[in-house]
Amino acid sequence: MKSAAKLTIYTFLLFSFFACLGQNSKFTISGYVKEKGSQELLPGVTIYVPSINSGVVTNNYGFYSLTLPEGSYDLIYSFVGFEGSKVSVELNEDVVINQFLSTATLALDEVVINAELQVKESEITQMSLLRLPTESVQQIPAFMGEKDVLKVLQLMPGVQSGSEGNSGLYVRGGGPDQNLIILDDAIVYNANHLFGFFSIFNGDAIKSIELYKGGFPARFGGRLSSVIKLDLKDGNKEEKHGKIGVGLVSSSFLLEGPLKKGKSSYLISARRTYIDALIAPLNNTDTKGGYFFYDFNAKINHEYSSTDKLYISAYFGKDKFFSKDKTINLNARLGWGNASSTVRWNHQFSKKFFANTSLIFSRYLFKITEESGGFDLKYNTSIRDFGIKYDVDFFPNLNHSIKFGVASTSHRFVPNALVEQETGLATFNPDFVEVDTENKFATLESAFYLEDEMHLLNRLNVNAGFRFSHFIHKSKQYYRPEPRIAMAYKIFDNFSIKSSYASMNQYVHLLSNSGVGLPTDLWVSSTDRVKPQSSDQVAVGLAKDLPRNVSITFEGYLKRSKNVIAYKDGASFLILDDPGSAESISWEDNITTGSSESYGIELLIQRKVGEFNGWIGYTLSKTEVQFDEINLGEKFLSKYDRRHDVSVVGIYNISDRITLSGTWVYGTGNNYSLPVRIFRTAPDDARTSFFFNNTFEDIERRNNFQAEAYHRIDFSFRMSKQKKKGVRTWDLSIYNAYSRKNPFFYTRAEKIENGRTTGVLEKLSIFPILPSISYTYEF
Amino acid sequence: MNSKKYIIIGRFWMEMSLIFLLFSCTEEVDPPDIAGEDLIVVNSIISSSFEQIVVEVSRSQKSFGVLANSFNGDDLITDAVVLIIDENSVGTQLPYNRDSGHYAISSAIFPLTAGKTYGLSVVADNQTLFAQTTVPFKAQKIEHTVNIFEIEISWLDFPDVENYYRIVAQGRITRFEFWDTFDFHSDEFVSDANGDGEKLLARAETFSTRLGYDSVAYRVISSGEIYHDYFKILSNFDSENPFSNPVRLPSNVDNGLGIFAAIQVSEFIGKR
Repeated sequence: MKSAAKLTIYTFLLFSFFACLGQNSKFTISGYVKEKGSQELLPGVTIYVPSINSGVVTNNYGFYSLTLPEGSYDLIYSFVGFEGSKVSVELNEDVVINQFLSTATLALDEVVINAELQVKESEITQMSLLRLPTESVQQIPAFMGEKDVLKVLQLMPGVQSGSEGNSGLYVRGGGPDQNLIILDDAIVYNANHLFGFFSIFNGDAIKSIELYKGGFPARFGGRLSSVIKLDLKDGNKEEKHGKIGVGLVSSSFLLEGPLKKGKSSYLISARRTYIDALIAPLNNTDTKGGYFFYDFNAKINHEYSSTDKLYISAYFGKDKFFSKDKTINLNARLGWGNASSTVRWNHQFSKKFFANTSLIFSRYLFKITEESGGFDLKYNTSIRDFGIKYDVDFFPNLNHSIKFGVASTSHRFVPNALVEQETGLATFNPDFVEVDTENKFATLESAFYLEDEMHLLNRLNVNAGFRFSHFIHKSKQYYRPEPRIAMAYKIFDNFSIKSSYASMNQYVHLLSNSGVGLPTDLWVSSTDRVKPQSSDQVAVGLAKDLPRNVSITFEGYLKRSKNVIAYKDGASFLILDDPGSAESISWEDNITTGSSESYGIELLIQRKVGEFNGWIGYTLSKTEVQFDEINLGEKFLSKYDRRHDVSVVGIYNISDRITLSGTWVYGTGNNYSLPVRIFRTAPDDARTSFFFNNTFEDIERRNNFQAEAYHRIDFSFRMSKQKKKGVRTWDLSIYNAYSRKNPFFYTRAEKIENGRTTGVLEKLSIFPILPSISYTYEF
Repeated sequence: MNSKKYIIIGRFWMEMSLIFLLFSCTEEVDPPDIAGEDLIVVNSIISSSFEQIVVEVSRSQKSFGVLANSFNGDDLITDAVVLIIDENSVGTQLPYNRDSGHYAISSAIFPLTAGKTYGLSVVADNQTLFAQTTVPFKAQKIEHTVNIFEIEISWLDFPDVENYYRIVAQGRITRFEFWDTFDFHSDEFVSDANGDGEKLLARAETFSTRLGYDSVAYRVISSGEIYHDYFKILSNFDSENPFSNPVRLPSNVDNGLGIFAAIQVSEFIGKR
């Protein structure tokens, strides 16, 4: 451990030494890149200097810094979804350039879109990174008209959906629990509403979306398979704007504007479904039941000076099911949801030093309450985090962009807490049973990191980093060094080869039987008995930029994971026929650890801007897992192992008022476990009489049956019109336009014909063609 | 009491499912091309404390297509040649008993000894199946303690041998003619992996000691790994639970399915 710490310090000193060499006659260009009109700070904007074939990228808060020798330079600012711009500068002193970019949709005429001003895949060191323009989320056809960030990510190569309609992400063979989903630096533990049919992210309030599938920069850690980074909009600093949306299942609104023009702003957005109102007619006077979900985002920010900015953001969302039955005096409620809040303070120490301090709170809670006939019950499970993070960006010169920082998060897990009270019996029986138990434990997860984006040899870019993570549970401590490296070598103009390696560790785990994002899924942590999950991933790839803003990326990857956890064969935290046992079962006794191996190739052909834009993605992959206590210890295919996965996305801006879009997806079917044969089991002499016989359905191998292929096509037609005080948009969507009966679930059934019993296979399909309509008004 | 919460979850699941089922459809599709061959199944749990050595021989059947058997006896094989073989390779044939549907002989004819390994050979449908098992040692110094809402059973592990144990217990309330089966949860199946030769413990919650048990009956069953794994999986698996994944049962029968396992049962009935 000491040697790892020394290595990190020496490496940093070495970077700093080289960084400080040759500082004479150099000047610094620094500033912020913002969205034109709203002054939203834009992270991830590329600032490229063609004359030296190099550049930098804005940090998470839109800040950049370039140190160059005295001279004349052109700076090209480019960002996905935005119109690029070029600035010429005569550099003979330090200058501040705050650049404003317009969204690409404002410039539909392809003539004005200069290919030189667009983000080039071949120029980006980072591989396995997908940046999604938020505009795409609005334009792409949506399930039930609900624009969903996560479902758009599912259309990218290497990212697969689970079952029909589900917003869970399976990235390069990893499960949904292996995705680090962060919203304004706060971890989101359950990103699903309603079994995952909808995600919790309200697309209207999101500013940027990034998905890392591999080659993870050292600043990220804590999950094995992906990082999904979402940032809320800061709020318009110039003028008040709003948006009202009405759809088939929910309505939403967004309001943003300046608190002090140019200095501070606010944003609030909210969404609520009315499924409860839709099913209300099914209720009668004695029994009532319903379900709804809502989410709420709020953010304020204030610019104290050009060097100090404060951001406070919050998210709160909840799913709630309720049931009342007067005939049995039942009043039951079941709810779950996330709450998170972040306070961030940016401080710019100099033109080269930028720091951010974040205080983070996040909580996920699942709760049941019930009162019925003198019986009260309260049950909940939860995970709650308090975290602090300090990140520094240091731009010593054009050849180095250094990031380093520390982070520490205190987790509190409550696997279950139960309060039972038999109030009705209490008056008659002084010995009535009251249960008041709460199992909880705390852990501390910390890390420090250092990474340097280096431009070497004119054509070679390297992002080398090191993360050191630490985890404490009671007296058990885990230390894990996590080296990271990503390289891009430009062979020709517009053509580069890339490679990366990332070591990751995961200290918190999700126990789930279903994989569909049920609220009963349980978050637990590493303990003295449960080791952290870990993975090593290598990837190699090619990136080629073609004329007309078309880019091609091709990647191959191999990921091996260890200490992956899952329920043992037959085990479940939700034991329906023996519910009393759930509280006393240790989850550690019910899990088994194993390993997984995923490998595959991914192809992405993309046109990011233009009248007609979109992408074609293809993935060829295989994922196998092995657990000591599942499938008798033999290796088997993952449920969501998908040999072929294709997505085609097309967005056609017919005019500045009308957009037509379509998506077609195809995927090899999911794997299911179906019985191959039925046989008589040995009598259980310990529990029953010796000759009590039973039968058992033998699956021969876990996930032994591959479902038929999944495919469907969706369309969307958006029509906007300028009205007196704003713009109204009608959006017509058709989900599964050719009404393909895609499999959702398979089951074995028996039918009797002519006195003979036959075992048959039945397929359940849930969503045929589903048209939807939504209306939005922006002002 | 906690069943309330599962009722709520169940109701929630059901009502939400109903909403989606409004859109859904179920259809019969071609049977999957995964059907394996029919196999012969041999089941036999033997113990020196059992009066008989009993072997059951049956046929499995494919899950899809016309079902030949209904498992009410029509799956049993009645003309197999079943031999139990000792360590000296001396075999004794077990005759078929039409009344029970099993092959059986008296334990007095073929006594079992702890630490010895026995083989089982079955010839049926022109196939030969073979399995073997080692008779485990009995648990030693077994004790029980009934505390408030808890019963604790302890025993001494037989050292230097890999041992597996299963604990089952019941409390009897005479005035209600009621046997309360205690649930040991994960303590029902334990091994000596972390305590070879040491004192091992199993604890179970009891319904209520205030009502009082007139007597407590319990068994400490020592076994080999195959018995442990087989019944642990069967015991944990809940086919009615929609969130429980399908499982596989282990088998130690070469060329077929089933289990041949020896156990030692230590049974006690005592006052609380």
